[in-house]
Amino acid sequence: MKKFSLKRVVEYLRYIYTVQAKNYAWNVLAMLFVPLFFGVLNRGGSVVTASGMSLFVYMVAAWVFPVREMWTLRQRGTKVMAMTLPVSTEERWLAMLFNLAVVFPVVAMVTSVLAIVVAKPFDSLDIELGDFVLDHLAGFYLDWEGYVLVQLFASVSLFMAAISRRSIMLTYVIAIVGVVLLLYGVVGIAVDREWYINIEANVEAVELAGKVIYCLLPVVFYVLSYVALKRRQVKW
Amino acid sequence: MIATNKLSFGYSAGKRVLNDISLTLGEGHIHGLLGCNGIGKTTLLKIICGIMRPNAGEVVVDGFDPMSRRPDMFSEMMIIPEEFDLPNVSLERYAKVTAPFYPRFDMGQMRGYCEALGVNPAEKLHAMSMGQRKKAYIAFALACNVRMLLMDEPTNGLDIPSKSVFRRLLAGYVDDSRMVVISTHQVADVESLIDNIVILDQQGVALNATTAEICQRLKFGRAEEGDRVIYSERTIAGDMAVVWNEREEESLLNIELLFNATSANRDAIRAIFNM
Repeated sequence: MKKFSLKRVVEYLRYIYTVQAKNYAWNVLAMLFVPLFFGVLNRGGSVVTASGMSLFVYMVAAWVFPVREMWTLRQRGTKVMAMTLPVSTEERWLAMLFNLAVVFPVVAMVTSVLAIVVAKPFDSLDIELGDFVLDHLAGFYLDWEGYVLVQLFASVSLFMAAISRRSIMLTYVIAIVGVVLLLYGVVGIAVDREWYINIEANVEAVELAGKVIYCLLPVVFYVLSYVALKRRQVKW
Repeated sequence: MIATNKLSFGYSAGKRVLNDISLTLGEGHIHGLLGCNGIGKTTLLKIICGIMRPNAGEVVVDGFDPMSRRPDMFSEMMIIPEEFDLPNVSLERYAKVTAPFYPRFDMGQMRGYCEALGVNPAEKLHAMSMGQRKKAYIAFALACNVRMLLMDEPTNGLDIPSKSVFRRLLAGYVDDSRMVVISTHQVADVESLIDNIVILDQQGVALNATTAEICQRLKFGRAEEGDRVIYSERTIAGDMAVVWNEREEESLLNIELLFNATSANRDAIRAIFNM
């Protein structure tokens, strides 16, 4: 038996979609009905509200979905069976990556469009639905920067869920405090030693560097998640 | 084959549960893993499955380190934990999506096991009682036909008729290429099944011997004049003892008595079995 098989990744996805069907369904329903609910409440702008709320829910879900991906591996009652399933860490990680990088954005896009379309009859404003939906999608869902931002959130969340021992929330608190202290320290040192970047002189280089780092960050966190899965899964 | 060498594990620096465990568990046997509460039986099963990493020593399963998480190793191994959650689907549906990972899984066999245990494989798992769910998972695990089946307190939650069906199914399961490891406190439930006994204590492996070896070297029952008594206890039926079987007499193995004798007189038992 090969250590890595794409067929087994597909079978693992089938397995996960079956054993986690209820949890996935709740998440998808929340992504559809939360924007719809607020859209219907605000009759003088149902479509705009539904669009805005669906973006907000998408951002929140980008943190929640990865935790869901790790659910069976971390939960007391399912952990032993899930971890002894004949699937390698590479196959498991690839399945998670597929869910977070492909399935999740597509589901978010479809639910947001559905919420807007269903909210339209409740809207007292006369908005051209087709144009609005296209603008809504182009504004974030089909924009590369929006996609990278969501992937950045998802990859960080997956990494946090992979390295947390008991409480994921506690890991977040520790990480946030750590980042704040680090920034405070770096800024302090930079001011003290008069480090600065002349942005005006290097505007294009800084912008390019920023874009590259922005795109690389999700990749780095996904790779770190794999390393954590490979090495630390026994610690949960 | 499962082998451990000088294996130690502790959940924290001051709380060591497994100490210097060296043992070999081979195919063709039903191994009984016995020990007091908190001695580390479940932990040992988890280490064998690669779910926990030992602090010291090594584990080898079929020539591999279980921490390497090789799919081929896991496709030959299954663990039935004491407590577990199953998804809210029917057993048949669950088996359908899990079976591709186990090359020798047999759906017909699973239905047969379900019938013997009185479980409806078409019923949703969350609609079943805890005991029924356990029976359902046992039926599924047996139908996977893995070579190494590990069970943690398998009879907990089973009703009396199901326990005897379970014994019958398990006795038919083991052959020369397969092994079952049962960790349990309910020795009476599996006494007639186990043919190799491993007793763990705080110092490590107190005993690892087949039931044939045990009955050859020890005698269970009333002590007679001239018997060298290793351990005795007062019961309703009178004084029961574990003695050296110097006259090579036949006696019925009493696992509970053997366990108490090992706890009370570890060194004597180890000396008898050259451990």
